[in-house]
Amino acid sequence: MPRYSYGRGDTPWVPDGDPFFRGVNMLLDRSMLQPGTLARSENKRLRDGVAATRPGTTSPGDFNPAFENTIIGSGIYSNPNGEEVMLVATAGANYVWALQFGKDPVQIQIDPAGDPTGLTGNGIVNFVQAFDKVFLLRVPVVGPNAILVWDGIAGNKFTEIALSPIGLNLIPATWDGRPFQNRILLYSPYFTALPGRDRVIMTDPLDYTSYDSILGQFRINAGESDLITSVVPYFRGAILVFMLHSVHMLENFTIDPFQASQRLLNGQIGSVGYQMPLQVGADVMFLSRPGGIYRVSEIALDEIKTPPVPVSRPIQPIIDRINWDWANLAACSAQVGDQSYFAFPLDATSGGSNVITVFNNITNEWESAPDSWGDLSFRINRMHVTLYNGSPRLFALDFAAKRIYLMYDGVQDEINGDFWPVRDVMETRGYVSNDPGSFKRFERVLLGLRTYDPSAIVTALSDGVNEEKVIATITKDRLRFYVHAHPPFDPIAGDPNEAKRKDYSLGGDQNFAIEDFEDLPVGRLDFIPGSPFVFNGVKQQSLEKFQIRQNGRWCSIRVENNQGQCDVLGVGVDALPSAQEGIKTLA
Amino acid sequence: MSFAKTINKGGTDKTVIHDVRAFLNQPIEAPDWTDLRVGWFLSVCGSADPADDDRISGAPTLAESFTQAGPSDKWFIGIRNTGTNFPGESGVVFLGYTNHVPNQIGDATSLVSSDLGIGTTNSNYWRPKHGNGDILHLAKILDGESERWSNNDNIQTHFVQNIAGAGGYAVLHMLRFTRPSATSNAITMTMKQGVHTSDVLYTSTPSEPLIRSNLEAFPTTVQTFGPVTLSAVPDSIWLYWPFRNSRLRNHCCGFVKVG
Repeated sequence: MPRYSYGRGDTPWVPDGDPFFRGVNMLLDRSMLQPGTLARSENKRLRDGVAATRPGTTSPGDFNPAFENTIIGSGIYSNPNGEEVMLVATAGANYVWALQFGKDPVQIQIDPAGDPTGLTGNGIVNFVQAFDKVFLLRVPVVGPNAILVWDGIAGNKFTEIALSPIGLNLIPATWDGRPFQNRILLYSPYFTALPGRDRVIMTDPLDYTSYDSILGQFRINAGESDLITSVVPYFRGAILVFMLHSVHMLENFTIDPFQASQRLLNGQIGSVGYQMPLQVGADVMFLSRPGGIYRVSEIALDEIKTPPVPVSRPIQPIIDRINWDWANLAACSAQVGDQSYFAFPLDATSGGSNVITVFNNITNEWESAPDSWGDLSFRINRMHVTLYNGSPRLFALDFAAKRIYLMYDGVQDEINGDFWPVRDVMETRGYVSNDPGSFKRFERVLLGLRTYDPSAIVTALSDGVNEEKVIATITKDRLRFYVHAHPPFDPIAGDPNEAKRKDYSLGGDQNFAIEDFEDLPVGRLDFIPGSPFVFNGVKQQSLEKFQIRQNGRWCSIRVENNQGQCDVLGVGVDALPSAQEGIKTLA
Repeated sequence: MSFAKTINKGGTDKTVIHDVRAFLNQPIEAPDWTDLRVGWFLSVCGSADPADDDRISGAPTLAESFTQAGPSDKWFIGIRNTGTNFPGESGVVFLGYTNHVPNQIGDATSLVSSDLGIGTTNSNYWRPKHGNGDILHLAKILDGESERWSNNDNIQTHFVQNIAGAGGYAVLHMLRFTRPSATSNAITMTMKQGVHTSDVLYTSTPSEPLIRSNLEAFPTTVQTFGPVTLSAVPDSIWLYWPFRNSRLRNHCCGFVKVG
């Protein structure tokens, strides 16, 4: 039965809308977008079809000891004989921090014996898992064999690498590396001089200290003087070698180096960002200038006959804003669960990335473009996934601010000790009410909401310059009920679980902040983190109806939330066709 | 910049130990408050890091006396408005325990062994004091370089020197601030009043529930400062311990907005 009935002389309204949301497409005109596609989605998540406000950001004490100096490198070390830890190097230190959830931070000392400096240095540090050990690689290289190794045993130090008794040649120091099958692959991303520019060194099998100086070195695309930006293990015994102007595959080289073959996957599309390529299932996604993010399966010219299309095409306006000069160092990526996260520096941002775009690997749609933070000094230099309270969680490191953030936790962003609300914005596609070619009178919008202490502004947009009309602001009184004449909620004596209350946030109840320091790590302290806003996870649902009264070929609805959480379950608009109402028609 | 360290005292009580003469300036958010209560579980320990992290008595003594050369030679336990200057300097509003007398230097700041008062019948406590006497310059309301309100006696603060004698290693100090409306700058400060003491309780199990319940049931016998119309409303907790032979330990702190 229809919700509304019409009299004999009434013109029926034509409904249009989205009962769910799948992704965002910023490239196409919004009147062309498919149902379920947003024209704008910032700080949103669409994982379950709801345009939900993304969770907040916290800086857990276990991961934030008093770093004496700026962070210059980090990595995840999975100790087969112990637990997974995040290793963090600070500038000029004679130790490395080992961090993990529920444990006090530990300093792993660097053994100065045999090492040229005995320090982390002032450049960049990369950590590479090497069987059950971990390498510490320094940029710039401090000596010909200046690789430090830690065995994962608490109390032991990072020590100078030593050739194994059966080894041929001690591996040279490089800038980075990757474990691959029974070997370690070493390379120097963005190294401009020969031989490091295009060389991949392969250690001997099951020996991370030794390599064959003749058969254990591979030069990639040497004829074009291209330089390596990253190396990623692939499948079937192959690795992908990403270079500045091309992408190559090196195959069949681990069993018998004489059988090795190199394949040019694409000579026009290169890769940017040595921390950027991301393996997602059997595919690898990488950033290329200026096209954006591609899949390797899309760019392999011997398999695909059409020009490659970047997977980031729907968010091309964001890609066009990337500060490419800083993307080499600052762009990074990570995957957790269904979602892949790509961090970029936008516009004139320097020192690190300032936004994250979120891609859903299941739906193959972009969910948020981008996530951003209220503190404009916030930077992301690395992203890692490691265990937090038993679950793999995304962490972001701000090197200059010496902060490590747990991403997407809580309802607020705690950045540099201050709390910021998550401000999210969504704009729907342009609703044309089954007739993209004619003007309509848009009368009303219906919004299905799921909120927690929201403060949202609803704006109707139509096809014209500055044709924006604020049609409503949405806040919810936590003391009021939807039931008519229901007495207000009593925060002291009332039942906090009584149904039909407008908002179940704890704002007014949380009238204290007391810190017993039990969550702080033992050791030096730079600051005392703020007491987080308590989020009880209870979001109330409601159906909101607002008048639009706007003419246009299409109508798009913007919902802009400035505090708490405002999830949009669905949007519907009702329009009067122009023919019946005598409204202006399209010329 | 590191200002303190965290230890796990007794394996059960994470404690923040300030570096010698290092301050804590912790912003608080309690919008529209009309009744704000702030409290700390505090103690003091020797200055040697880390040897004295848990030494509250013995040699070398924590007792000390020196001549004041400026605000950084006075103790402060209270709240202030955000800024980088010290309380007692231009633009800074401060309300709380302090021996600061604006524009006055040359007197002494001392930490003395004391009983739970101003005598020496036992040595269960340490007591900071002003050189002018045991009952003067104990708590103030300061606005810039002006002393807006000062009361004397019966609000002395003590810190534990003998755990068995005091009944615990941490002392609870609390302050209450009220104002007639959420937009008013006319602030009244109260604190517990006893016989030469303002200490609320001593415990070896300082905790968040304990400080919260005491803040909610604020003592009824109090000494009142103000109301005073101030140039700014305080929005930060401020702790500063000026001594060199001892360090301030913060076991738990926080605030409750009652109104």
